[in-house]
Amino acid sequence: MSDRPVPEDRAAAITSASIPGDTDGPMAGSKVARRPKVGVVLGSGGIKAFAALALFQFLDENNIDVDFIAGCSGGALTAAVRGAGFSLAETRALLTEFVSGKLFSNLDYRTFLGMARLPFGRFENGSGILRSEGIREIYQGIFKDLRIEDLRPRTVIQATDVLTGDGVVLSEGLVADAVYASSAGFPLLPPICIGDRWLVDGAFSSSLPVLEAVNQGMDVIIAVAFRQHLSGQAPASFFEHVVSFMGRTTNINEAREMSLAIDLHHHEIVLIDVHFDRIIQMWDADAIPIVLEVGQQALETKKHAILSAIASFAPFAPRQ
Amino acid sequence: MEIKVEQKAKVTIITPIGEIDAQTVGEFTAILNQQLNAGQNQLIADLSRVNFMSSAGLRALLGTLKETRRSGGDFRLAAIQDNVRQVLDMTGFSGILKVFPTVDATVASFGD
Repeated sequence: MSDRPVPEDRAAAITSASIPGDTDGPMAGSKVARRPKVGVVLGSGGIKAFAALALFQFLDENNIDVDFIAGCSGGALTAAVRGAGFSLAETRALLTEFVSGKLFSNLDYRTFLGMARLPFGRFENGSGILRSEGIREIYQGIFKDLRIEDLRPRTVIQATDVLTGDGVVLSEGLVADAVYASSAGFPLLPPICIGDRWLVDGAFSSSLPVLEAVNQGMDVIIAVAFRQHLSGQAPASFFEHVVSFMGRTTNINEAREMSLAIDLHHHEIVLIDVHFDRIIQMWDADAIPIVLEVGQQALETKKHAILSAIASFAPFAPRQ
Repeated sequence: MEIKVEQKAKVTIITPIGEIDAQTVGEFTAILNQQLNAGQNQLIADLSRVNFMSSAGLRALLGTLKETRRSGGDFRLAAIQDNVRQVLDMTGFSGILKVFPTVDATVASFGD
Protein backbone atom coordinates (compact mmCIF):
# COMPACT_ATOMS: atom_id res chain seq x y z
CA MET A 1 0.00 0.00 0.00
CA SER A 2 3.02 2.26 0.47
CA ASP A 3 4.45 3.95 -2.60
CA ARG A 4 7.48 2.43 -4.22
CA PRO A 5 9.31 2.24 -7.50
CA VAL A 6 8.76 -1.05 -9.27
CA PRO A 7 11.89 -3.16 -9.71
CA GLU A 8 12.60 -4.01 -13.33
CA ASP A 9 11.97 -7.72 -12.83
CA ARG A 10 8.68 -7.02 -11.07
CA ALA A 11 7.63 -4.58 -13.80
CA ALA A 12 8.26 -7.25 -16.37
CA ALA A 13 6.20 -9.71 -14.34
CA ILE A 14 3.33 -7.28 -14.12
CA THR A 15 3.19 -6.52 -17.81
CA SER A 16 3.60 -10.14 -18.80
CA ALA A 17 1.01 -11.56 -16.39
CA SER A 18 -2.11 -12.24 -18.39
CA ILE A 19 -5.22 -14.33 -18.85
CA PRO A 20 -6.11 -16.28 -21.97
CA GLY A 21 -8.13 -14.17 -24.33
CA ASP A 22 -7.24 -10.93 -22.59
CA THR A 23 -4.72 -9.60 -25.03
CA ASP A 24 -4.68 -6.03 -23.82
CA GLY A 25 -5.11 -5.96 -20.06
CA PRO A 26 -2.60 -6.58 -17.30
CA MET A 27 -3.75 -10.18 -17.04
CA ALA A 28 -3.36 -11.09 -20.76
CA GLY A 29 -1.91 -14.59 -21.13
CA SER A 30 -1.65 -15.74 -17.47
CA LYS A 31 -2.62 -19.13 -16.21
CA VAL A 32 -5.19 -17.72 -13.77
CA ALA A 33 -8.62 -19.27 -14.33
CA ARG A 34 -10.52 -16.06 -13.77
CA ARG A 35 -9.61 -12.46 -13.57
CA PRO A 36 -9.92 -10.79 -10.16
CA LYS A 37 -13.12 -9.00 -9.30
CA VAL A 38 -12.24 -5.34 -9.00
CA GLY A 39 -14.08 -2.98 -6.70
CA VAL A 40 -13.65 0.76 -6.39
CA VAL A 41 -14.59 2.64 -3.24
CA LEU A 42 -14.92 6.40 -3.39
CA GLY A 43 -14.99 8.23 -0.10
CA SER A 44 -16.62 11.42 1.02
CA GLY A 45 -15.16 14.80 0.18
CA GLY A 46 -17.56 16.96 -1.77
CA ILE A 47 -16.22 17.95 -5.18
CA LYS A 48 -12.77 16.67 -4.17
CA ALA A 49 -14.12 13.21 -4.96
CA PHE A 50 -13.94 14.05 -8.65
CA ALA A 51 -10.20 13.64 -8.28
CA ALA A 52 -11.08 9.98 -8.89
CA LEU A 53 -11.61 10.73 -12.57
CA ALA A 54 -7.89 10.13 -13.05
CA LEU A 55 -8.31 6.62 -11.64
CA PHE A 56 -11.18 5.82 -13.99
CA GLN A 57 -9.17 7.08 -16.94
CA PHE A 58 -6.26 4.86 -15.90
CA LEU A 59 -8.50 1.83 -15.52
CA ASP A 60 -10.05 2.45 -18.93
CA GLU A 61 -6.67 2.88 -20.60
CA ASN A 62 -5.48 -0.41 -19.10
CA ASN A 63 -8.67 -2.30 -19.97
CA ILE A 64 -9.32 -3.07 -16.32
CA ASP A 65 -12.97 -3.89 -15.81
CA VAL A 66 -14.57 -2.64 -12.61
CA ASP A 67 -17.17 -4.98 -11.15
CA PHE A 68 -18.44 -2.90 -8.27
CA ILE A 69 -18.38 0.66 -6.99
CA ALA A 70 -19.31 1.89 -3.54
CA GLY A 71 -19.59 5.63 -3.09
CA CYS A 72 -20.17 7.94 -0.18
CA SER A 73 -21.22 11.58 -0.36
CA GLY A 74 -19.05 13.25 -3.01
CA GLY A 75 -17.81 9.79 -3.89
CA ALA A 76 -21.41 8.70 -4.45
CA LEU A 77 -21.96 11.52 -6.93
CA THR A 78 -18.74 10.64 -8.74
CA ALA A 79 -19.70 6.96 -8.80
CA ALA A 80 -23.20 7.75 -10.07
CA VAL A 81 -21.92 9.98 -12.84
CA ARG A 82 -19.55 7.21 -13.89
CA GLY A 83 -22.25 4.56 -13.65
CA ALA A 84 -24.68 6.66 -15.64
CA GLY A 85 -22.26 6.56 -18.55
CA PHE A 86 -21.03 10.13 -18.65
CA SER A 87 -17.68 10.38 -20.36
CA LEU A 88 -14.75 12.03 -18.63
CA ALA A 89 -15.20 15.11 -20.78
CA GLU A 90 -18.93 15.25 -20.04
CA THR A 91 -18.22 14.89 -16.34
CA ARG A 92 -15.82 17.81 -16.39
CA ALA A 93 -18.47 19.85 -18.19
CA LEU A 94 -21.06 18.91 -15.55
CA LEU A 95 -18.80 20.11 -12.78
CA THR A 96 -18.18 23.41 -14.46
CA GLU A 97 -21.87 23.95 -15.13
CA PHE A 98 -23.40 22.92 -11.83
CA VAL A 99 -20.96 23.64 -9.04
CA SER A 100 -22.00 26.94 -7.57
CA GLY A 101 -22.21 28.67 -4.22
CA LYS A 102 -25.79 29.63 -5.00
CA LEU A 103 -26.85 26.06 -4.27
CA PHE A 104 -25.82 26.52 -0.64
CA SER A 105 -27.25 29.94 0.06
CA ASN A 106 -30.96 29.27 0.31
CA LEU A 107 -31.70 29.38 4.03
CA ASP A 108 -34.72 27.65 5.48
CA TYR A 109 -36.04 30.43 7.69
CA ARG A 110 -38.71 28.22 9.18
CA THR A 111 -35.97 26.07 10.65
CA PHE A 112 -34.39 29.11 12.27
CA LEU A 113 -37.77 30.21 13.59
CA GLY A 114 -38.29 26.71 14.87
CA MET A 115 -34.94 26.79 16.67
CA ALA A 116 -36.05 29.89 18.49
CA ARG A 117 -39.48 28.40 19.01
CA LEU A 118 -41.06 31.35 17.29
CA PRO A 119 -44.36 31.35 15.40
CA PHE A 120 -44.21 29.79 11.93
CA GLY A 121 -41.10 27.98 12.94
CA ARG A 122 -40.87 24.27 12.48
CA PHE A 123 -38.85 21.30 13.46
CA GLU A 124 -39.47 18.03 11.72
CA ASN A 125 -37.46 15.12 10.38
CA GLY A 126 -36.97 16.90 7.07
CA SER A 127 -35.65 20.14 8.54
CA GLY A 128 -32.27 21.60 7.72
CA ILE A 129 -30.52 24.95 7.86
CA LEU A 130 -30.65 25.22 4.08
CA ARG A 131 -33.37 24.38 1.65
CA SER A 132 -32.51 21.50 -0.62
CA GLU A 133 -34.70 22.16 -3.64
CA GLY A 134 -31.95 23.69 -5.76
CA ILE A 135 -29.49 20.87 -5.15
CA ARG A 136 -32.09 18.19 -5.69
CA GLU A 137 -33.16 19.80 -8.96
CA ILE A 138 -29.55 19.66 -10.14
CA TYR A 139 -29.34 15.94 -9.39
CA GLN A 140 -32.70 15.29 -11.00
CA GLY A 141 -31.56 17.21 -14.06
CA ILE A 142 -28.41 15.10 -14.33
CA PHE A 143 -29.81 11.69 -13.54
CA LYS A 144 -33.50 12.12 -14.44
CA ASP A 145 -35.33 8.81 -13.72
CA LEU A 146 -32.18 6.69 -13.66
CA ARG A 147 -32.21 4.03 -10.96
CA ILE A 148 -29.27 2.73 -8.94
CA GLU A 149 -29.84 -0.78 -10.23
CA ASP A 150 -29.32 0.55 -13.78
CA LEU A 151 -25.86 1.92 -13.07
CA ARG A 152 -22.94 0.04 -14.58
CA PRO A 153 -20.90 -1.33 -13.03
CA ARG A 154 -23.04 -2.35 -10.08
CA THR A 155 -23.03 0.57 -7.68
CA VAL A 156 -24.15 1.11 -4.12
CA ILE A 157 -24.46 4.40 -2.31
CA GLN A 158 -23.78 4.90 1.40
CA ALA A 159 -26.20 6.97 3.48
CA THR A 160 -27.02 7.28 7.16
CA ASP A 161 -30.37 6.97 8.91
CA VAL A 162 -30.67 10.23 10.83
CA LEU A 163 -33.00 8.71 13.43
CA THR A 164 -30.98 5.58 14.27
CA GLY A 165 -27.45 6.42 13.13
CA ASP A 166 -27.31 3.19 11.16
CA GLY A 167 -25.46 3.03 7.90
CA VAL A 168 -27.78 2.40 4.98
CA VAL A 169 -26.40 0.98 1.74
CA LEU A 170 -28.68 1.98 -1.11
CA SER A 171 -28.66 -0.49 -3.98
CA GLU A 172 -31.94 0.43 -5.62
CA GLY A 173 -34.11 3.46 -6.14
CA LEU A 174 -33.71 6.78 -7.87
CA VAL A 175 -30.09 7.83 -8.30
CA ALA A 176 -30.93 11.51 -7.83
CA ASP A 177 -32.48 10.84 -4.44
CA ALA A 178 -29.73 8.47 -3.32
CA VAL A 179 -26.94 10.85 -4.29
CA TYR A 180 -28.67 13.66 -2.46
CA ALA A 181 -29.12 11.49 0.62
CA SER A 182 -25.50 10.37 0.61
CA SER A 183 -24.23 13.94 0.45
CA ALA A 184 -26.83 15.66 2.64
CA GLY A 185 -24.52 17.16 5.23
CA PHE A 186 -26.93 17.40 8.13
CA PRO A 187 -27.87 19.78 9.74
CA LEU A 188 -26.77 22.11 6.96
CA LEU A 189 -28.82 20.13 4.44
CA PRO A 190 -32.10 18.48 5.40
CA PRO A 191 -32.63 14.72 5.40
CA ILE A 192 -34.56 13.07 2.60
CA CYS A 193 -37.16 10.37 3.13
CA ILE A 194 -36.44 7.26 1.05
CA GLY A 195 -38.72 4.37 1.77
CA ASP A 196 -39.51 4.75 5.43
CA ARG A 197 -36.16 6.17 6.48
CA TRP A 198 -34.87 9.70 6.80
CA LEU A 199 -31.41 9.67 5.28
CA VAL A 200 -28.42 11.98 5.45
CA ASP A 201 -24.74 12.02 4.59
CA GLY A 202 -23.20 8.56 4.45
CA ALA A 203 -20.02 9.96 5.98
CA PHE A 204 -21.71 9.85 9.38
CA SER A 205 -21.74 6.05 9.24
CA SER A 206 -19.01 5.06 6.78
CA SER A 207 -17.14 7.75 4.91
CA LEU A 208 -15.04 5.20 2.99
CA PRO A 209 -17.23 2.06 2.74
CA VAL A 210 -14.45 -0.43 2.08
CA LEU A 211 -16.20 -3.12 4.11
CA GLU A 212 -19.02 -3.09 1.58
CA ALA A 213 -16.57 -4.00 -1.17
CA VAL A 214 -15.11 -6.73 1.04
CA ASN A 215 -18.58 -8.08 1.73
CA GLN A 216 -19.31 -8.13 -1.99
CA GLY A 217 -16.35 -10.42 -2.52
CA MET A 218 -14.13 -8.07 -4.48
CA ASP A 219 -10.61 -9.48 -4.94
CA VAL A 220 -8.85 -6.21 -5.66
CA ILE A 221 -10.27 -3.16 -3.96
CA ILE A 222 -9.13 0.32 -4.87
CA ALA A 223 -10.19 2.66 -2.10
CA VAL A 224 -9.85 6.38 -2.74
CA ALA A 225 -9.89 8.72 0.25
CA PHE A 226 -10.05 12.47 -0.23
CA ARG A 227 -8.45 14.33 2.63
CA GLN A 228 -7.56 17.84 3.61
CA HIS A 229 -4.35 18.33 5.56
CA LEU A 230 -4.05 21.77 7.02
CA SER A 231 -1.06 21.24 9.28
CA GLY A 232 -0.61 24.24 11.50
CA GLN A 233 -3.07 26.44 9.68
CA ALA A 234 -5.68 28.14 11.81
CA PRO A 235 -9.18 27.96 10.32
CA ALA A 236 -10.21 31.16 8.63
CA SER A 237 -13.83 30.93 9.75
CA PHE A 238 -16.15 29.05 12.06
CA PHE A 239 -17.33 26.98 9.11
CA GLU A 240 -13.77 25.98 8.21
CA HIS A 241 -13.23 25.11 11.88
CA VAL A 242 -16.20 22.76 11.80
CA VAL A 243 -15.18 21.27 8.44
CA SER A 244 -11.62 20.67 9.68
CA PHE A 245 -12.86 18.95 12.82
CA MET A 246 -15.23 16.74 10.86
CA GLY A 247 -12.41 15.90 8.47
CA ARG A 248 -10.12 14.78 11.28
CA THR A 249 -12.74 12.59 12.92
CA THR A 250 -13.65 11.16 9.53
CA ASN A 251 -10.00 10.20 8.94
CA ILE A 252 -9.90 8.37 12.26
CA ASN A 253 -13.09 6.47 11.55
CA GLU A 254 -11.90 5.58 8.07
CA ALA A 255 -8.70 4.14 9.51
CA ARG A 256 -10.71 1.97 11.88
CA GLU A 257 -12.86 0.61 9.07
CA MET A 258 -9.77 0.05 6.93
CA SER A 259 -8.06 -2.08 9.56
CA LEU A 260 -11.13 -4.29 9.89
CA ALA A 261 -11.51 -4.50 6.13
CA ILE A 262 -7.87 -5.55 5.72
CA ASP A 263 -8.31 -8.23 8.36
CA LEU A 264 -11.38 -9.63 6.64
CA HIS A 265 -10.13 -9.35 3.07
CA HIS A 266 -8.32 -12.07 1.14
CA HIS A 267 -6.14 -10.31 -1.41
CA GLU A 268 -5.22 -6.65 -1.90
CA ILE A 269 -6.77 -3.35 -0.96
CA VAL A 270 -4.97 -0.46 -2.60
CA LEU A 271 -5.57 2.75 -0.70
CA ILE A 272 -5.14 5.97 -2.64
CA ASP A 273 -4.84 8.96 -0.36
CA VAL A 274 -5.73 12.04 -2.38
CA HIS A 275 -4.30 14.76 -0.27
CA PHE A 276 -5.34 18.40 -0.54
CA ASP A 277 -3.38 21.06 1.29
CA ARG A 278 -6.20 23.56 1.28
CA ILE A 279 -9.88 23.46 2.13
CA ILE A 280 -12.01 22.97 -0.96
CA GLN A 281 -15.66 23.68 -0.32
CA MET A 282 -18.49 21.95 -2.10
CA TRP A 283 -19.12 25.11 -4.10
CA ASP A 284 -15.52 25.98 -5.10
CA ALA A 285 -15.94 25.74 -8.87
CA ASP A 286 -12.60 27.52 -9.32
CA ALA A 287 -10.88 24.62 -7.55
CA ILE A 288 -11.96 21.99 -10.08
CA PRO A 289 -8.70 22.13 -12.08
CA ILE A 290 -6.77 21.67 -8.83
CA VAL A 291 -8.99 18.75 -7.87
CA LEU A 292 -8.31 17.01 -11.15
CA GLU A 293 -4.57 17.68 -11.00
CA VAL A 294 -4.21 16.44 -7.42
CA GLY A 295 -6.13 13.32 -8.34
CA GLN A 296 -3.72 12.62 -11.17
CA GLN A 297 -0.71 13.13 -8.91
CA ALA A 298 -2.06 10.77 -6.28
CA LEU A 299 -2.79 8.12 -8.87
CA GLU A 300 0.76 8.23 -10.27
CA THR A 301 2.09 6.82 -6.99
CA LYS A 302 -0.33 3.89 -7.03
CA LYS A 303 -0.45 2.74 -10.63
CA HIS A 304 2.04 -0.06 -10.11
CA ALA A 305 0.38 -1.17 -6.88
CA ILE A 306 -2.94 -1.48 -8.75
CA LEU A 307 -1.42 -3.40 -11.64
CA SER A 308 0.55 -5.60 -9.27
CA ALA A 309 -2.53 -6.40 -7.18
CA ILE A 310 -4.39 -7.48 -10.32
CA ALA A 311 -1.48 -9.44 -11.78
CA SER A 312 -0.73 -11.25 -8.52
CA PHE A 313 -4.27 -12.52 -8.03
CA ALA A 314 -4.70 -16.28 -7.98
CA PRO A 315 -8.13 -17.68 -7.11
CA PHE A 316 -8.21 -19.97 -4.08
CA ALA A 317 -7.78 -23.55 -5.19
CA PRO A 318 -10.71 -25.75 -4.09
CA ARG A 319 -9.88 -28.34 -1.43
CA GLN A 320 -9.36 -31.83 -2.78
CA MET B 1 12.41 -12.55 -0.63
CA GLU B 2 15.33 -12.66 1.75
CA ILE B 3 14.33 -12.93 5.39
CA LYS B 4 16.78 -13.07 8.28
CA VAL B 5 15.99 -14.49 11.70
CA GLU B 6 17.93 -13.70 14.84
CA GLN B 7 17.38 -14.64 18.45
CA LYS B 8 18.10 -12.30 21.32
CA ALA B 9 17.32 -14.05 24.59
CA LYS B 10 13.58 -14.73 24.44
CA VAL B 11 12.93 -12.30 21.58
CA THR B 12 12.97 -13.37 17.94
CA ILE B 13 13.82 -10.71 15.36
CA ILE B 14 12.60 -11.30 11.82
CA THR B 15 14.12 -9.03 9.18
CA PRO B 16 12.47 -9.16 5.76
CA ILE B 17 14.25 -7.39 2.93
CA GLY B 18 12.36 -5.80 0.07
CA GLU B 19 8.64 -5.57 -0.57
CA ILE B 20 5.85 -7.34 1.25
CA ASP B 21 2.82 -7.78 -0.96
CA ALA B 22 0.58 -10.56 -2.19
CA GLN B 23 3.46 -12.11 -4.12
CA THR B 24 5.94 -12.24 -1.24
CA VAL B 25 3.73 -12.38 1.84
CA GLY B 26 3.63 -16.17 1.75
CA GLU B 27 7.35 -16.37 2.42
CA PHE B 28 7.09 -13.81 5.21
CA THR B 29 4.15 -15.59 6.80
CA ALA B 30 5.93 -18.94 6.58
CA ILE B 31 8.85 -17.63 8.60
CA LEU B 32 6.54 -16.05 11.17
CA ASN B 33 4.57 -19.28 11.50
CA GLN B 34 7.78 -21.26 11.92
CA GLN B 35 8.64 -19.16 14.93
CA LEU B 36 5.15 -19.44 16.36
CA ASN B 37 5.13 -23.20 15.90
CA ALA B 38 8.49 -23.38 17.66
CA GLY B 39 6.91 -21.72 20.68
CA GLN B 40 8.33 -18.27 20.14
CA ASN B 41 5.78 -15.63 21.06
CA GLN B 42 7.89 -12.50 21.54
CA LEU B 43 8.43 -11.53 17.95
CA ILE B 44 9.81 -8.41 16.32
CA ALA B 45 9.60 -7.52 12.66
CA ASP B 46 12.56 -5.31 11.79
CA LEU B 47 11.10 -3.39 8.86
CA SER B 48 14.08 -1.13 8.28
CA ARG B 49 14.68 -2.83 4.94
CA VAL B 50 11.06 -3.03 3.82
CA ASN B 51 10.32 -0.28 1.33
CA PHE B 52 6.77 -1.29 0.42
CA MET B 53 3.94 -3.02 2.23
CA SER B 54 0.55 -3.83 0.78
CA SER B 55 -2.65 -4.75 2.57
CA ALA B 56 -1.63 -8.40 2.26
CA GLY B 57 1.45 -7.57 4.32
CA LEU B 58 -0.63 -5.72 6.87
CA ARG B 59 -2.92 -8.70 7.17
CA ALA B 60 0.07 -10.92 7.88
CA LEU B 61 1.16 -8.56 10.64
CA LEU B 62 -2.31 -8.65 12.15
CA GLY B 63 -2.51 -12.43 12.03
CA THR B 64 0.85 -12.78 13.74
CA LEU B 65 -0.17 -10.26 16.38
CA LYS B 66 -3.27 -12.26 17.22
CA GLU B 67 -1.34 -15.51 17.48
CA THR B 68 1.39 -14.12 19.73
CA ARG B 69 -1.09 -12.44 22.03
CA ARG B 70 -3.15 -15.61 22.23
CA SER B 71 -0.17 -17.29 23.88
CA GLY B 72 0.64 -14.37 26.14
CA GLY B 73 3.30 -12.77 23.98
CA ASP B 74 3.33 -9.93 21.51
CA PHE B 75 4.45 -8.94 18.05
CA ARG B 76 6.05 -5.53 17.61
CA LEU B 77 7.53 -3.54 14.79
CA ALA B 78 10.89 -1.83 14.59
CA ALA B 79 12.44 0.88 12.42
CA ILE B 80 9.71 1.28 9.86
CA GLN B 81 10.32 3.49 6.85
CA ASP B 82 8.29 6.67 6.37
CA ASN B 83 6.08 5.40 3.58
CA VAL B 84 5.26 2.23 5.50
CA ARG B 85 4.52 4.32 8.59
CA GLN B 86 2.13 6.41 6.51
CA VAL B 87 0.27 3.27 5.50
CA LEU B 88 0.10 2.09 9.11
CA ASP B 89 -1.34 5.46 10.11
CA MET B 90 -3.91 5.62 7.30
CA THR B 91 -5.17 2.12 8.02
CA GLY B 92 -5.33 2.41 11.78
CA PHE B 93 -2.63 -0.21 12.25
CA SER B 94 -0.38 2.19 14.15
CA GLY B 95 -3.00 2.09 16.89
CA ILE B 96 -3.03 -1.70 16.91
CA LEU B 97 0.67 -2.65 16.67
CA LYS B 98 3.38 -1.26 18.89
CA VAL B 99 6.08 0.44 16.85
CA PHE B 100 9.56 1.45 18.00
CA PRO B 101 12.27 3.45 16.27
CA THR B 102 15.04 0.86 16.60
CA VAL B 103 15.42 -2.87 17.01
CA ASP B 104 17.19 -2.40 20.34
CA ALA B 105 14.33 -0.27 21.65
CA THR B 106 11.85 -2.89 20.53
CA VAL B 107 13.81 -5.68 22.22
CA ALA B 108 13.99 -3.60 25.37
CA SER B 109 10.23 -3.05 25.30
CA PHE B 110 9.69 -6.72 26.01
CA GLY B 111 11.50 -6.30 29.31
CA ASP B 112 12.93 -9.37 31.03
